[in-house]
Amino acid sequence: MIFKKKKNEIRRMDLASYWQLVWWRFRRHRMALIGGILLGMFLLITLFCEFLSPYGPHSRNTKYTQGSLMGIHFFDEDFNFHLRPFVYARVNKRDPVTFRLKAEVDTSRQWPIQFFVEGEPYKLWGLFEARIRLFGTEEGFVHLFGTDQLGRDVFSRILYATRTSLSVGAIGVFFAFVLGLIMGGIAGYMGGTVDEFIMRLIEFIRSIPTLPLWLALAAALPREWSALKVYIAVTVILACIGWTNLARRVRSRLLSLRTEEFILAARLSGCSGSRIISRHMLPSFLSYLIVDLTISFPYIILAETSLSFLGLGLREPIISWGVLLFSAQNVRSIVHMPWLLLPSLFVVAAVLAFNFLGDGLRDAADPFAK
Amino acid sequence: MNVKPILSLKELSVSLKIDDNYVSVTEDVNLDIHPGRVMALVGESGCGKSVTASALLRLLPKELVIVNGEILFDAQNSGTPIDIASLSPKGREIRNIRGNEIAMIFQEPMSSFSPLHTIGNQIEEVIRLHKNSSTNDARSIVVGLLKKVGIGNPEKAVDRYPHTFSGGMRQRAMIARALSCDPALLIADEPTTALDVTIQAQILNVMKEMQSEYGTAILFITHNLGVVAQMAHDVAIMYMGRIIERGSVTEIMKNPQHPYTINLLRAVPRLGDLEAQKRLEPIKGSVPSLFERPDGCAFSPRCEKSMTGQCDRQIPPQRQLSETHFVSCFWNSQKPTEDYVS
Amino acid sequence: MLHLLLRRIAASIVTLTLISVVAFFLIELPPGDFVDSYVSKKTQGGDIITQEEISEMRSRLGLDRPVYVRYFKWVGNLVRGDFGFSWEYRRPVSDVLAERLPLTFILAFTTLIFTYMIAVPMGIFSAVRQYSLGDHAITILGYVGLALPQFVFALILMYLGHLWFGASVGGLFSPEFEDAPWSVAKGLDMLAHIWIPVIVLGTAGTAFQLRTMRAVLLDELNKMYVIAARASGLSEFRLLMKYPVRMALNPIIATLGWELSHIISGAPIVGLVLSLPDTGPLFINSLLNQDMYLAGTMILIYCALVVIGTFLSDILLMIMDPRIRIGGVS
Repeated sequence: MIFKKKKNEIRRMDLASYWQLVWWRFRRHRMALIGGILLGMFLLITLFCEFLSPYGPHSRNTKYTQGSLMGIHFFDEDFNFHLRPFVYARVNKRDPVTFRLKAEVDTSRQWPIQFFVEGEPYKLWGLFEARIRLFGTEEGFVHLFGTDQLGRDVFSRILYATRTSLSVGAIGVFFAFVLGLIMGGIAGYMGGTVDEFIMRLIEFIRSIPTLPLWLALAAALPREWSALKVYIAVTVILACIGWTNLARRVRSRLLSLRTEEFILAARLSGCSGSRIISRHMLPSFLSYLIVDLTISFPYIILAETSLSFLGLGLREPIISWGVLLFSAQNVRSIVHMPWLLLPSLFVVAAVLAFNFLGDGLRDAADPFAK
Repeated sequence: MNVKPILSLKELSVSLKIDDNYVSVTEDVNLDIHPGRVMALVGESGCGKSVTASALLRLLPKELVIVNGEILFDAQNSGTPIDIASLSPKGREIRNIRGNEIAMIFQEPMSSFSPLHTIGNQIEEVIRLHKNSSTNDARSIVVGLLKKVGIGNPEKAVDRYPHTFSGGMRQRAMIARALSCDPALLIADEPTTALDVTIQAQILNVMKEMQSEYGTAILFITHNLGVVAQMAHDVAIMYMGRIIERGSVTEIMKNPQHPYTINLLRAVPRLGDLEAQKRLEPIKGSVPSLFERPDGCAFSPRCEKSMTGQCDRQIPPQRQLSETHFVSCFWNSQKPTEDYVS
Repeated sequence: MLHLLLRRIAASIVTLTLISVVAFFLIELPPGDFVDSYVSKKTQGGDIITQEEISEMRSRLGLDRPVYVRYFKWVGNLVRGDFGFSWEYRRPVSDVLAERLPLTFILAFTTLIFTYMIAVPMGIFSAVRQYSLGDHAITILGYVGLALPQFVFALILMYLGHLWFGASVGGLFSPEFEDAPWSVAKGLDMLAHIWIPVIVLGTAGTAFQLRTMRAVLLDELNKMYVIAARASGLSEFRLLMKYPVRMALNPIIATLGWELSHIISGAPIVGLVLSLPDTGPLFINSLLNQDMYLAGTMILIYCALVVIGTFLSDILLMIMDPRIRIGGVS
């Protein structure tokens, strides 16, 4: 029985197209699929963070500063089930010893969670005015991940930061990619002295410890620059150092493709130049590049996070994961508000997702192996 | 032949294990190798001859398992053979046999030596492992061996690294390593396939010389029938994991009985073909994949003599034609066929 | 061999020269020079400084000379051991660094040793027992190790340390040893503290090297020479250690310089979070304050460390691999 199945599988493999094979091989990687799904979610957050977050990133809730996480409940104290989830109300009480106001949970009152509620107005993608948010409360407030020193909703801020961090990653990777493609292309195409020079340059850049170099470049940015200007500059800096890997891969791929036997075979069987490029070179080249792009992402994301964490990268009012973590720099604030470390979960998840996906793609990109 | 075989395979079957399913790679292989004789195991690539060779030393990769059969090995001709198939593949007993009583030469001389150690080091290691000799003794044995297999300047060659050797020299060194403990049986798995034709002849000569000097029995695995005629005393022909015919080299070459053997011999180019304007006759069709093993005789779909209803239903039993000649086929030609060896 | 060695030395010197250019470029990069910031500080304090005084100061410091002249002057001073002046600390850069640099060296090399001590055996285990439970566990650990930013790791350890021990786990010494001169007791005290920064700094590198080791070893295990050696009767363990492991160590050694670069790259940020008394916090502060002589010098030193590491790895590789040492015979 099993042999029959195997037989069909073998037949099917013989007839499948390149991209079909890639997809089949990719599907077998459970981790890569998980990575892909995670990245899909990140993409949704990036696109619709205004809608998904209950509050604006800068609006402050003075009634609940340094507030802890608020759990969503379906069962109340007496184990009664509520179809509509709720959070328990918070009341401010003065501490009898320190006389400071402190929020306490009041289990006698519930603040039910509403969906598609009217919240603070926002501009979706800076274009469309809207008020509808995915969830919120009519009375009271809901801060899933707590609030920071100023009473800003950590959950909303993380969603907004996701947009920034991923866009820095995407733009950085794009710049690095263009640079890498040009430099690697020139090196691979021209060969000889030019190739030698570019390869030496790459070797040299790679021998410098990257983070200190990044830090030094970022530190040299004028202090009076606006946050947006810094954002662009930081992205460019990240790309300037990140291109080397891509350039090397492009070059070696170009060199090996030129001498590959199937290219020669195609040429000998009379394929036109454009057909060789589009049908034979591009597919195998493209899949390699996609893999490289995926693997480059985490480096840029981690670099941006580190820079911003040190206060040398992006800064308020632009918020990224690194900027959020900036407020968690010393032990005292972490001990008081451990939830300030939550953005790091997102960093790890994003990096893992890209790595998983990259590994799966790398395997799938060469579907004829084994 | 009254001498007891030194190695005797009894219904050896090896299967490929995929999850919990088994696919046959070799089935019921019966083979006797006698002391001092060269047995050639012949077949197309993928027919299971290398798998059989690896199974003899329990060197099969994890996915391949011996599912049935015995490998009876009797180095001293004592009459109480050891069943290698029942040994643990990582145990002490099999390790004492490997390299010591049964040695092996591989197809690719370029990668059979570690590039990080000298040739001398890698041969000495085997001697010291099995023979309890001191480093100095081992070294002089190695120098002697290298000289015997025809490596020039052996005193210097001992300390050279494999990457400075040519393919032919490496295969000579490999032979030296295999013979270092004077084994009773040598398994040569296509030892000349990866070499140039001229070098091939040299290596075969070295092997022949060594064989006559040491009197080692050899299991010679090849797909090259020319080499068989030159080297072997006995021949076994394998097709899709089964030995379909075996006998002495004269019996197989002069009087092949299985249609596959006949076809195989016809497919060998010969001098004189050109003048006679004869074309080579390839065997029609191709070897099916392991997953598509035909019912009955595996060769029946490609066989001219195939009898529907019999060959494609039953596996033909083994028939004995002479003291040494066995064939597994329903078709019975009886009359001696034309001479296949010029 | 000698020829190869000389070429390596020459290449290292060229790299160092190029790095000095980069470092000088970084020093010069921030707009305005020391005089500007000095003047703005002074004028904020209410002092009045005339234009003549400013240009007099410039020419005294040599800041009015062309860039290349300043570069050669800087390099000339470097060679004589004068690294410039740290405006932030109001002391020569060499003085500022002298007390902290040894700790950075110790930290970097301890981490390097830790990385290899963990990565090599774990990689061997992972490859030999492929797809076993342990292999899967190690693989997952490797993924997480690569994904966790070092400073986050440090923060989490600090937080956990606070929760469990109620004390700060930062620093390299107990308070009583902080200002004490070097002694055996101080050394032991450092050993008791150093493992946290070492783990934080080394985890990503360990994960990377572990994956390399596993991948290369898996490749090597199926090579012909392994089977040939097994066929001559070697025991599995001896076989493994003598042949494939030796082979798999080569790419590990080849990336030694790169690994060192990675460790040094992470050191400043980890040093800052864990408030280590090494050069890390110094470097970050110098950057934040644009104290560029200090920053440039430190970049130069960090790079020099990497160049030395790469050089060492090249030599090690030559010793380990006869194919590089002797070269091929056609």
